[in-house]
Amino acid sequence: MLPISHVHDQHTGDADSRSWISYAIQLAFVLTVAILIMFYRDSETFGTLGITFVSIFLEALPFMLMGSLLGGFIEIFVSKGALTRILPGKSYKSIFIAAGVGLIFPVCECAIVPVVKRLFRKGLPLGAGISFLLGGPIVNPLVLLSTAVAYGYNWTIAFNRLIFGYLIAVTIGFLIEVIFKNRQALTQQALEENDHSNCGHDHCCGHNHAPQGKIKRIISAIQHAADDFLDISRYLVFGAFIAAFLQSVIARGDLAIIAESSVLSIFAMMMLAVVLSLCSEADAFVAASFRTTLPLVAQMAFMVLGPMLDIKLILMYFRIFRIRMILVLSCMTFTIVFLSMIVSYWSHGL
Amino acid sequence: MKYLIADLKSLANFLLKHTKMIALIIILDALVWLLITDKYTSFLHPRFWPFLLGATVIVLLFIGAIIFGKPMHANRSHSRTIIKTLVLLAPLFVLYTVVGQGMGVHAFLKKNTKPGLSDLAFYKDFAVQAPGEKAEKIENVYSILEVITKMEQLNGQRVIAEGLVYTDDNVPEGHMMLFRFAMFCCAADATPFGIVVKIGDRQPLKNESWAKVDGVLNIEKILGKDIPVIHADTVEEMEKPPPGAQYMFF
Repeated sequence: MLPISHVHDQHTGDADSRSWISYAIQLAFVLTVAILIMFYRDSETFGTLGITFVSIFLEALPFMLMGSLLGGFIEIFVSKGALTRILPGKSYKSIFIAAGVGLIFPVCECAIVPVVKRLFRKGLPLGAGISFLLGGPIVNPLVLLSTAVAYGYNWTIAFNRLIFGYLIAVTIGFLIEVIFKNRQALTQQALEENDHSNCGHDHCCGHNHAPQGKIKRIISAIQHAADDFLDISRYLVFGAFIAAFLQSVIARGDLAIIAESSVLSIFAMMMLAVVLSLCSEADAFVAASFRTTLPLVAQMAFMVLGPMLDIKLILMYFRIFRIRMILVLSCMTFTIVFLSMIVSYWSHGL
Repeated sequence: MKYLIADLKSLANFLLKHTKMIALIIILDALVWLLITDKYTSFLHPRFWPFLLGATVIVLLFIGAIIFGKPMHANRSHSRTIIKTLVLLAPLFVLYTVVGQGMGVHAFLKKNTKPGLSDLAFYKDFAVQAPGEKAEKIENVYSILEVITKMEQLNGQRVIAEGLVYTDDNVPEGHMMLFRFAMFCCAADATPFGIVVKIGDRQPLKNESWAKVDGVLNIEKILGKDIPVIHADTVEEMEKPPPGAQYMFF
């Protein structure tokens, strides 16, 4: 009988430790993958699913690692006071600033989640965190460039995407700030600041065990980063698998049948963006491949929603947000993007 | 026997205690293998290698920090740690299963967005070459994307193109499709590009086989659109290229 430690399950604030359902789902996932490999490895569908699954994971992996590393250094080297001095709580100016941070500090949607998780612990206001989470992956120069290139150096489309992304991120940041308090929105793990303890406790035990010495602090930062990566990347794996599965059963070309209705095509492309879970640098090229089939507003909806909300992201949100917050954030993002596109279509014929 | 069981128990305890490090070592191995063998091009654009290299360095840092740093947490439930680790490693198990394969007809049917071929002219600004193609241009040899984007220029000329064969009940008799995937970042965003080939009375090749077609390109109106069609003089089955060479890369 292998030893099992109970000491920290009740104290760590890890949601998984309180939910056997989560582990049952993870076990079911592992068994599903094993069955697919053992019995379906020669099928065409598994080939498409497997290649897509691995490619999404491998593409996201470096950014997830970088984001975790940055989060680890934030944990050790950024004090709570420093952050609240720059972005005071309840200051709505912080929402405007956070949504545009990606212009100076480009970060993709996979890297941003571990970074924001650590920033919340350091006192980042909720609204600012949300606007950074949503705006960061779109409002950045790399995405601007890739969008322009995908549309034949059409900078109007590229800037339209950036502006939509910024305004929607700010709007949602404001709404979330009004609706939620931190404690209602964030998981226990995202709320509590680590005591950097080496005494085996993950929670604050009343005194500071922060490592002394630069080298020790750097090692501690990297250890935190490793923990973050091992924690959050499971959700990336789930999201990548679901996205790959849906890509292998839903045909992109079937969307052409709803092309006659602009409203339906906007909705369909938004659903496709959620399902495909593509990175924000590549999704413009996929959107552009629909240019003769669907109206531009539907392509724009795909490009704006994708970096803000997809299956991968929704699952990674479970490490930061409570379920109610995830539901509200997902529905709000989807609705606001949809309404923005409808208004844009009716007013400008975009 | 008693000592053997005790040794196995110690080994099991050791492995369970260091599950995280073992997982990171496996990830590190996979990254190094993908980079050294270039097999990452089966899944990612070749320009992605610096990011994978960076990932390798970061994973090394993680392993180093675990070895040289003080333990941060006492052991949690071993069974839960094992399950978490297996979830994290699932993509690598799938990787080793699919690494020799490339996407085929199934992916073609799912990823095809049916764009108007004449609107693909904007792709001509991208450098499009499958890896492994010789630096100097071989006469008459064109990638499928070049055939599509330069069809006016190549109209009436001899072209040689390679790609995957698609033929089923949807494709009229005496015809087949030749297609390849073009990748922007990774296989998830890969988009298929295909051309029609008139094979006449020839027996069509097997679906999803690789073929080299040599013929004359004509632009024909099909369903109101200008479509490049190769009137094939020869259609040869060819050896499947290595996975990284099966894609066209933007």
